[in-house]
Amino acid sequence: MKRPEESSFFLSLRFVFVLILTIAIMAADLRLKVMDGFRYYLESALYPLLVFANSPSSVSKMVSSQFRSRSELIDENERLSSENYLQRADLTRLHAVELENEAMRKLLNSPLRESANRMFAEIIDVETNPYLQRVRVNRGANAGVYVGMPVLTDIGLVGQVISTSSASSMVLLICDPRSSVPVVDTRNQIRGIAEGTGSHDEILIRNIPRSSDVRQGDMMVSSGLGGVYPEGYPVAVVTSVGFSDDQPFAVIRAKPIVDIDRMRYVLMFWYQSAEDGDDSVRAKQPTDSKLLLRQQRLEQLISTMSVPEPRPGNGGEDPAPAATLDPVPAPQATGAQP
Amino acid sequence: MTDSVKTRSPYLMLIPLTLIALVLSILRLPEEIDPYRPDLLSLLLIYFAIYDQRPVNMEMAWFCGLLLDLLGGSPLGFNALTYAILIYVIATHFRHFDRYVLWQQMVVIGLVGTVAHIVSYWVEHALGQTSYSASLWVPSLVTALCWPLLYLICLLLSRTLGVSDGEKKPNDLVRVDR
Repeated sequence: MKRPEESSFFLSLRFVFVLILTIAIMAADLRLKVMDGFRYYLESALYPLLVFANSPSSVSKMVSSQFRSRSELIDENERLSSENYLQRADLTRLHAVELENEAMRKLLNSPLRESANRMFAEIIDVETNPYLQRVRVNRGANAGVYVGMPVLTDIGLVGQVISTSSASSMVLLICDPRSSVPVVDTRNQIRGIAEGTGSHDEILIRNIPRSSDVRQGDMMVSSGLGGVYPEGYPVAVVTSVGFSDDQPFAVIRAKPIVDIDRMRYVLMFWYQSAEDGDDSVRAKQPTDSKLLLRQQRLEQLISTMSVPEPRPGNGGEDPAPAATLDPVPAPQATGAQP
Repeated sequence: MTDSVKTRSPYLMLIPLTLIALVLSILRLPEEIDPYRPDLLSLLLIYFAIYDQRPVNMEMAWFCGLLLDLLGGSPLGFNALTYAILIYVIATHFRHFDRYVLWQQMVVIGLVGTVAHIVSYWVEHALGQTSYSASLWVPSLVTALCWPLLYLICLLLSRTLGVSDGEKKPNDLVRVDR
């Protein structure tokens, strides 16, 4: 043995020192929250490493998008433009309904709702610790993300931001054991609190009495109480309701609406006060230069084609694509105004 | 210590390999194989704790774990504690680890890895994390199975770069194989 024989006592002493240091850091991080500023700078400094680690998946995505055939692209473009057309039509009606709602809330002397804004973000890293359900997204404090910001997808609620660095932020998913979401049953307005279990396809609804009328298949949406999550976004569907005689509350299990383990893009959601004037819902913006480039290429491809593609106009009044689509109810003007 | 004067410092090899292992451990993998991801960083740290001729560098392992915590977003200190326990137990309770046969080394790494995970899980639980997964031992098993591969890579690299360690090891291996 070439290694100098080190005394076991000295090594144990060092180990105890490290142990105490670890427990101090853990307590400072989890309980006292004094490390937040420290973490902010360190995570900002380590961001390039995160991007580098994400590069294999982004490279494979880029390669697969480069090798798609022209007919696939045309098909996708047609499908997307028809989808876009339908959604524009829906949006005009939504705008009318929003105006009507605002007028009615004024009549009832209720406070006006603030209009919502969204920001597109991509998941760049998932928590490696199997006990925690957290993801990191590529939007940080520089883009206006703050701690407590709700995170959605097009299907339902996903979680909230728990820490930010300059270019990325950590999202606590609704199935994390430390997450609770105030929910309400859409069928009968029973309120409850949805808590995560650590498993990505199960959450528990706590504190609902045994006598209450919650059934399998009920949809739970966020209730807006507590002030963190916006009201009315789908959270989970009840999968089982169990009773036990020795417990005052029902054991209600539910499955999150969003496929949390498969999602790749999320929307960061925030309120903008109504006084800002601009209360129109903004379209989703492409987030990075690669997406922009792809969009530009797509546009060039479309413009080089000889047959002009029917594209929906601004008001959705273009009759050409309507022939290929389902009949869309003509967007009503604000006729329901009181 | 007398030999290390002649050869190059092991940090020449340790630091780039640590960075690669860090990146590999935060790489996104498909959901199906993600629970079976081997913990290469811990193997690397064990290798250098055993075959480096200086005193065991437990603080180095602790610091690498801290970096992993920061990158992965887990509570600060979780992986740091795991690695520190791993190195401490192997260095104190298996003093002749480098003379073991390869499969014995694998068994030791698997067992000690599981114990280290359980202990750091306890500490985390005591500090307020509440979650439990029954497949606690699976990553340790996969990690232990990867040990021969990493051992050979490190041995080859240290020979090529002229880093000082593992002098006696090849002879031992040959003798065992016969």
